[in-house]
Amino acid sequence: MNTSEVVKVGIADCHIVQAPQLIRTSGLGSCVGVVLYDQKKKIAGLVHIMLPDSSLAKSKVFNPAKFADSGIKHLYDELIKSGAHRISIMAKYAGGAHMFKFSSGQDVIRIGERNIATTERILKNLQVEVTGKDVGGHCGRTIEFNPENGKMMVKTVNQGVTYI
Amino acid sequence: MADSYSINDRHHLPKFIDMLKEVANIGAGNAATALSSLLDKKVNMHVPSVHIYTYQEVVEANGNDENVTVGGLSQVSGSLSSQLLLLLSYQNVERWIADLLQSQNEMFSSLYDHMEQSALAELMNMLTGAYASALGDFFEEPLFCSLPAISIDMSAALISDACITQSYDYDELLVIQTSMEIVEESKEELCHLLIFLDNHSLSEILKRCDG
Repeated sequence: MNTSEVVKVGIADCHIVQAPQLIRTSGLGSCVGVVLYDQKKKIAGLVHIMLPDSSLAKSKVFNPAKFADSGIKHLYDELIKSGAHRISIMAKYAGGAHMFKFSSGQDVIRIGERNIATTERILKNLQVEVTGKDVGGHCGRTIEFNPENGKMMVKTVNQGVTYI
Repeated sequence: MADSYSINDRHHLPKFIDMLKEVANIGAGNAATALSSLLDKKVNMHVPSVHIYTYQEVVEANGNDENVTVGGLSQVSGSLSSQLLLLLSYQNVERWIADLLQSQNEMFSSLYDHMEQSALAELMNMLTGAYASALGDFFEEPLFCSLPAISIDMSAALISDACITQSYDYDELLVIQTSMEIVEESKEELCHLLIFLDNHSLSEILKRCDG
């Protein structure tokens, strides 16, 4: 069946692929996986961000792919360097769940929600159209994007596989 | 002597890791004893190992990143306040909980059901408590462990979610890896990972090891 090469993106990592390659990241919890793609050129990039805001990084030297603001901009620039057209770039993203619920109601800061909000804001600033998303809730997600047809597979433990 | 320590200070590490291994060993011993009395079966324990891992390495140490894993996240309060994340294999936990309920003449249906969830929280609580009390005893500080929040999902999602508040400052985590087996049953081992999530109190621990 499908023997396309799948490029894996780790936590706080970022890669770009060209069809027929696929690009995938596993186990998004409160992290968000953002795909930027150019459908005509059939190239796509994926960044697996953990946190919303790079200004909160303690050290000056940090990995841009760890944060939504720096990560999405970094991916956008890299995608253009790889030949994508600014005006054709579109986005799909998934993640931002809330995995652990404490019965005391004393939840750790809801990083997932803030990751989603920052992702939305950065994409809006870059004037990138969002063509699909699957966010929030309480389940982990694995995503795989196919630059050939612009479809993103979203897999969860309890709800199986869907395409957006 | 430095005022604060970070797990990123590589040159301090070998000595600290040796001391933390000692603590881990006592903790795992407590956990095995508690587990043995809970299940009323003989439990063998292997010597735990202590590692400093990146997020990606933690995920890989737990096997495939999409493995369905049972995670318990506990808040430890006291002078060495921290968070502990305990990860157990889904298959093992399912079998244990089924055993446990059977010993109480209850039927096992699914790990997601009410009764099973409550037994699961008790099991996780016992295990995280075993490590917290070992840590407390070692440093002569009383530590209290909250009932863990439980989540059953892909291991990578659990790990990254629990680690996230630390990741502003650090890219590495302290991990205690232990495996145990129930003697009279198959050779199947229960591996568990315990991840220490607060680098501030970790720095305190390192300081005390040095003192």
